[in-house]
This record gives sequence, C-alpha cells and structure tokens, in this order.
Amino acid sequence: MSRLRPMDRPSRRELDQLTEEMRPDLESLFQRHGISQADAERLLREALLRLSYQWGRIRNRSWWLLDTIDKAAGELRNPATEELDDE
Amino acid sequence: MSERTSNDEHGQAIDHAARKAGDREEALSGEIDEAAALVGELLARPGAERQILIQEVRFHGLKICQLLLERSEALWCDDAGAAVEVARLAVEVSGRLDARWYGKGLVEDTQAMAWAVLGNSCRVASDLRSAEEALDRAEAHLERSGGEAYTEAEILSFRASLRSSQGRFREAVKLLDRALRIYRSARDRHFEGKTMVQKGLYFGYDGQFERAVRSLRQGLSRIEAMDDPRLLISAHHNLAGFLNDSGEHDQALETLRKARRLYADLGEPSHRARLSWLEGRITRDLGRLEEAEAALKAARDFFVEHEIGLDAALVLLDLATVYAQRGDTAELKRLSAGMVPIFASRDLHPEALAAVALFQKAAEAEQVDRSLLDRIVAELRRTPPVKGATAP
Repeated sequence: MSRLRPMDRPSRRELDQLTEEMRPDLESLFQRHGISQADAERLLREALLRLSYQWGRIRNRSWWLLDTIDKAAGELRNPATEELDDE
Repeated sequence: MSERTSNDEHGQAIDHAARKAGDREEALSGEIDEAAALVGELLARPGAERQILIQEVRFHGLKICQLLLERSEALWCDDAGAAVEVARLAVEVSGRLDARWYGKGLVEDTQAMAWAVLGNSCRVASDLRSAEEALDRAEAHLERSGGEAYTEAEILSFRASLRSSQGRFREAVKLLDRALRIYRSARDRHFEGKTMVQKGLYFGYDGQFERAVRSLRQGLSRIEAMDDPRLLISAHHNLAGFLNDSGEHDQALETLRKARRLYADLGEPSHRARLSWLEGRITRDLGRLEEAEAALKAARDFFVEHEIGLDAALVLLDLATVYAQRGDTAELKRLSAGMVPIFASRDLHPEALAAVALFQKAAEAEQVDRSLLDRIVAELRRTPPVKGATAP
C-alpha cells in the first residue's frame, strides 16, 4: 500500500475532534512562544491545511500538528539569518 | 503584545482556524475526485503528449501531484524507467502549484516529496547521479517548508537507499538512525519498524549478520502487517537470508517455513521465485543437495524466463556451488556452457559479465571451488542494480 495515500481526507468532524483534543497543548505552545492571536490563527490554519492534504500519510496527527506549529512558531520568533540579511 | 495574549485569545484563534480549515474540506473532496479522473486522462496518453497536456492549468493540482507520486512508487518494482517518467510529471506539477491557494508550506512540502520520489525512482533505475541531485533538491524544499517531519524522514530513508546502492552501508545506517529518531518522537511504531527493517538490510549487506538479524527482528515486531504486506515478506526473507549467512541454517529454514504462508497469500510470482532461491541456498548449506538443486532450478527458470539477468546469474552460481560441493565437474561444465546463450542476449553490466566469464573459464579448467564461487558472487552483488531488480 502506498505511504502517500492521496485519496484519504479528513471529515470536518475529524478535524474538529483533533483540534479539540489538542487545544490545551496548542494554547500552551502559543503561550510559550509568545505568539499573537493573529499569528496563532494563521499558524494553526496553515498546519491544519497541510495536515488535511497529507491526512493518510501522517499517522500520528496530534504529534505532527504540535511539531509543525512548534517549528513554525520558532521560526517566527527567530527568523532565518538570510532573511535578516535581506533587511 | 504577544506576552499579553491570553489563553482566551488563543482559544478564539484556535476556533477560527479550525472553522476555516473545516471550510476547505468540501473543496478538498472535490479536488480528490477530479484529480483521479485527470491523472487517468494524463497517463492514458503517450509520453510526449503528457508533457504537452501537463502544461494546462487544470493539471496543476496538489492531489494530481500526489496521485502521480503514488503511481511512480507503484512502478518501482516493475518498470523503473516509467517510475522516473511519472515522478518527473509530479515534479513538474509541484512546481506549478498555486501557493496562494495551498499556502507556501504545503507547496514546499509537496515539492520536497515530489523531488524525493523522483530521486528514489532514479536510484531504482540505476541513475545514481540524478538520484543524488533530486534528493538535494528535495532537501532544499524541505528546508523552505520549515522542516516537515515525515518528509524529512522519507528523504533520509531514500538517501540511505542511495548510499546502500553506492555500497556506503555505514553512512546509510547513520541516515536511518536520524529517520528513526523522528519516528520515535512521533511514536509511529510502524514506520519505526519499517526503518529498522531497512537498517537490518544494510547491516547485512555490510556483512554484519548478527546486527542485521537483531534489527530485522526488532523491525518485524513493530510493523503492521496489513499496512505493507510486501515489506513483511521482504523482512522475513532477509531475516532468513542473514540467519543463513551467519551460520544459523536451521533457524533460517524455520523462519522461511513460517513465512511460506505469507508468500502464498501476499507474494507475487517474483517473491515465490526468490523464496525458492533462498530455500536452495539454505538447504545447500545444510548439505541437502538434492533439495537445493531442485529449488535453485525453479528459481533459475523464473529469472531466465523473465530476463532478470543479474539474478539469473547469481542463482546459476549458487547452483554451481551445489555441483562443486558434490564434486560434479561434468554438471559444472554443462552449467557453464548453458550460461553463454542465456547471458549473451541479456542486459548485464560489464562487471557482471566479467564475473560470469571468470566462472566459465574456471569450469572449463575444472578449477571451480566454493571460495572462487563466493568471490564471484560477492563481485556480482557489488554491480549496480539492474532495472526491475528488487529485494527480497
């Protein structure tokens, strides 16, 4: 069976359920990184979209969601050096 | 500002994001249905027409790209050239995705995956230089994506396969250790197991049979059988092979006996031919030469019929070891003479042909012994993989 499973997709209920389960961890992650409300919404929205399109491939979705947002939040606080050089 | 953002405000952000992500669900469903039809239309055309067709905007969808990647993967075992061609189409599509619709991160993830699959397809097709270049491109996209964990692990695994094809087994194992760390963080036992099976294979190729056996056993205890029956067969097969190589012939035969049902239920004809081959090698090493001869002849017939040159050569050399063990120089000469027409028309690498010629010369001079045959087999195994040649 392909690892990619491109035909798999989440239902709205599955996405809601995942977000609800992860809510305390997400809040604490946003708090820890000092992320604004607007950035928090954007980071989570982007991560959920990425996850939806790769639903069948990513098996531990709650871990993946936290890992992906954690990396993106870290990048937001400490943008890559090359971006600083451009300024 | 950020320090004062409260949990309530983050809670609202979570609600809004979840609602918006849910709103895309319908569009995603539509995209999946449409993509299946479009990929069918695309792949029904000959190669040159596909290149023209793929320029049309209706083919620039992410699900189309993923379906092409899935198709490319499915071709790895049977037609590596076609796998490369389809993966190139996926790369082309991935470079034309609309970042405003999908978001930059998702587009970069997809590009990384497309280049990674192309890289592995090139490796399977024995184009190791293109494989390296494609995997470099995959890594560059991965970095720009923010480092999506599963794609990172996939790229590491493909790079490890490439290092193995280059004979750089220890580097391959190190790369797999990095992939393992990711899967362990994700508590993904199946992929952890799959990676351990791959690691076991490289330990075995490197001659570290005991570590190979340990890693394969650990991997087998973790993989979910129904998720990947091919992997399951391949893992059992390699476990039996390395047990045999480490001198545990009885255990090897027992492992193979237990896996026989798997081969029958889940395996393809090529798997069953490889089962006969391994059975022949194990029974030979147990001194059961008649059984070995019968099993090796069955495997030989399959590889010769399907023109899988390198494997046919290796099976014939294993058969030669049976005759050598029996001291049957007449059979050895007959086998050697029979190899000429088989290999003259097959696509064998020059190194492989040279090894076969060395055997023929020794057979004519009645100077074949087990150590010479082992050396020739080792030489043949070092030759680059030929199209369609696959584990187990």
